[in-house]
Amino acid sequence: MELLETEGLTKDFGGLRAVDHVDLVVRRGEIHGVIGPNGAGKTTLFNLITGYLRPTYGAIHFKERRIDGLPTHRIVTLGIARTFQIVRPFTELSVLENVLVAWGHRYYRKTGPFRPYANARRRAREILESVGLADRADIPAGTLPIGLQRRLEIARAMALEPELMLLDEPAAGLTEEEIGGLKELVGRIVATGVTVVLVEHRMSFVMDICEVITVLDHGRVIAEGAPEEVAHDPAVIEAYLGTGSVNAAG
Amino acid sequence: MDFLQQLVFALVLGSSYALIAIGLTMVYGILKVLHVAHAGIYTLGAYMALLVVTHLTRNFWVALLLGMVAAGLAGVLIYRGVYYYILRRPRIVPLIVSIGIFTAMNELFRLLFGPYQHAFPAVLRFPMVITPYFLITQKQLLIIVLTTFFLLMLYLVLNKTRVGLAWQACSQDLSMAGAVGVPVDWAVALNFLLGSALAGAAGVLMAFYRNMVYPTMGNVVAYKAFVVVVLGGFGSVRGSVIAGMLLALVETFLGSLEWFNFPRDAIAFLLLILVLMFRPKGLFGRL
Amino acid sequence: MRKFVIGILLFMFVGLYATAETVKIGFFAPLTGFAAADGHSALAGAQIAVDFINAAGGVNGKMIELVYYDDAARADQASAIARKLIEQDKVVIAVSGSYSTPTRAAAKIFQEAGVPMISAYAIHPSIIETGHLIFRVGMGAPVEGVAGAYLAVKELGAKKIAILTMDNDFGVSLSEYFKDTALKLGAEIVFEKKFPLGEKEFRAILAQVRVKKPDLIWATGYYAEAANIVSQARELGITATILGQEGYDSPKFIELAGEAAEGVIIVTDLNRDSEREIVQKFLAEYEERTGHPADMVAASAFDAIKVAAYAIAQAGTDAEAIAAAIDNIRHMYDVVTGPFFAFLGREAIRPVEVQIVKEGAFRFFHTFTEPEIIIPPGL
Repeated sequence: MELLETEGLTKDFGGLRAVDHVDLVVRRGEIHGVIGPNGAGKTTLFNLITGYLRPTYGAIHFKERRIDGLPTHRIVTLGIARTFQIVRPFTELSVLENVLVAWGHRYYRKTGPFRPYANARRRAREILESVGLADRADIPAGTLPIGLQRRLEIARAMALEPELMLLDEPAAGLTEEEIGGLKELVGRIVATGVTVVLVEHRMSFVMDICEVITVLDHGRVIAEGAPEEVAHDPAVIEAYLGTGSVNAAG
Repeated sequence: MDFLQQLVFALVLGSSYALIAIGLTMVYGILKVLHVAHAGIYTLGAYMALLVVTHLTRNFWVALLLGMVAAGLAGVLIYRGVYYYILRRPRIVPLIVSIGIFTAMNELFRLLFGPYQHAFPAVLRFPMVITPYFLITQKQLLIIVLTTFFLLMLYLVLNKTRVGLAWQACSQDLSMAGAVGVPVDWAVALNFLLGSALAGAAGVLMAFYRNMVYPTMGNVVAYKAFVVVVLGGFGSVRGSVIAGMLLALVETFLGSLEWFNFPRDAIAFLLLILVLMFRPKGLFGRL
Repeated sequence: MRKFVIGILLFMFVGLYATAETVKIGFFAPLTGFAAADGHSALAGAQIAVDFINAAGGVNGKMIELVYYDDAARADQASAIARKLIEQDKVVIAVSGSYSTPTRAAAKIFQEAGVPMISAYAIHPSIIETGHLIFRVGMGAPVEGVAGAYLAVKELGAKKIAILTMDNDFGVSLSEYFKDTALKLGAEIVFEKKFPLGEKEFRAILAQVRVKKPDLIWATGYYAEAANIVSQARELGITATILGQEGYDSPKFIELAGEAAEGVIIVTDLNRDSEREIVQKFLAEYEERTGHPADMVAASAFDAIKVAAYAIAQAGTDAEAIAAAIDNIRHMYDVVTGPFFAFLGREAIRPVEVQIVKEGAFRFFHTFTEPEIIIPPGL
């Protein structure tokens, strides 16, 4: 079995079916994109995988283990980290402390909750350096500009030392220059052995860095494959043009 | 020079207010629940200590320790056994349940121990401070020293340890904290444990100070702790400590004036009204 | 058939005996709430009186039945109980074993319904002013306050006095008469302050008192307030004599105040060292039944029942006749807080006792029998 596999995953909200029998396969080490018009169910998919929502039907397997139904922090411990569309740092904690909270996750229950942070601070600073936030380590996270808050999100996710990282619209609201930096960052993350799945609207970004793309529309998978294949898939073009959404050619 | 003596009284009174309010504000900060039953835990600590000194040993420290342990465990029990299941309901549900638990606890104590006041015959050797301007009796010095110690420990836990950081994260954004791997349930349980142990300590200290344990001893505490929390700002430990001292200062100085015939306990209410009118989020609050 | 008829007759006979041969006396006291200790004491005292009287043959050949309820020291509950005793239980006379505020409320109802009531120890003056059917066995606030002032100024020689008053019917009436008389006798009041019922923290006030250096402190309160005042005063190093009243008269006071109770003097009406037989008999019986030493509250309730029974024995069950019988009492000796010299203005006139705490128990200190002290002002 691959790193992450969903089987017939379905989620209903009352009469609305947000995710419809999705079979998603994510292989270790790949950069996997999930795209689709607005309301296609992409964020709901992430919420299901990370335990915020329970599936109505279907199963989710991670490292050959069923994880649907587990609480979020448990799934985190198993190795899945996630960033959010709307960034939510701990605004009153410092940038460094934001990362420290995440870093503590494996220590909370085991080696004593009342121990101080000691060498964890060193590791946290290293992570901040790798995302370029080292010089802002001690300011309150709430005062960072949005682009840097995005990086903090990712830094926090990195601190969890996940095997699978889910990025929810990491490029939203970023300038061209910032996007370049983001691409580079994702590349470095993957180079350390982490598998990345990202949801994104910016086609150029997705086409550029993803190796595999899954396309959702109205909760169902309508196409899947390498970027060039998907870009020319008639069903995909139909779905996008039909809703008057983003230009597929980028 | 009488001023210094009154200051001593205020310090002692403020210590007890601070110890109780801390637990209340910590719980509110994370769960956004008004944990009225906290005052019942205060009383429980006192009764546990009473059992110890009447059946086990007169040694004050043993009574204090066991009182704190019992209170801490009771707090965790209330969280894990009751609040845990109703946290997703509208906020008024846990509030009403909490009031119910508090009332039930008072009745339980009355049934088990009788409605009378019991003396608290613990024995303690502790120094006294005598100066020409004021004196601090053994019990008063004990309360001041112990409270300072507890507050110091709490400060260290909150700011220098993992769980302290986790608590801060939880009180800012509970679901996000879960998303970054904080085992929320466990963190909250620890929070209750600590806050309740402090309330239990306050109960034992007050029982010793006044030489009285009785089932309704938590009643006045219940609303005064609430006032202190509002005054200091919901969720702010620092605010609770300062507000507790402030309330004690006002009560002591106003209450000692010969012409002031207003009941001392009503001063807290007056302050509450003033705060809500002019600065609802309190001194350090984030409401 | 014959056995059946005999059975029926026997049943009727027993039934008639059981129901027709009792005289119902109503009783209410706080059995729950902050005053529960006093309430239980009062009830025990009343029950001992009933048992003593019934053992001696009852009243006019009938046994006394004590019908009692818990009023939690609350006026609303006392009122409800009063109505119940009148309409449901149809008592001949009622006794209040409760505090002033609830007793006042109940008294109105009894007077209006034409049923006599005797207050055991609730002493606010307005209680007996309610009407001609309302009496009081317990010593009144005026007498207690006046006696206290004489004790303080004349017997103990105090010149500078501090007054701490519990702010309710009981405390305020006591301090009012004390202050008036003390000033008349030439003392100086150096400090005066009121505090609410239930107050636990007196150190701030007492620090102010200490500065004024009084010879004596007159502090009104029930046993919990008294214990706190006394122990906190000693803690602050105040050595002045503390003079209390009947509110202190409870073993609970000594228990809660601990060593600080030593040397405290109280004005009350129970002399535990009295040589009169009824006193010692009562004290022994009370201690045996409850395991605690008796207090003023229990003694007053005992005496109230005795007066009620006496009145019924004299006058039967007619309310006006009962009231007249009590009014006409002269020299009743068989009472614990007595002897009662007379009933004037519907309250019992008797010696005022002063007790002091010595070695953890109340002991005799002084007795007042002078008419100008023991007869309430205005009579």
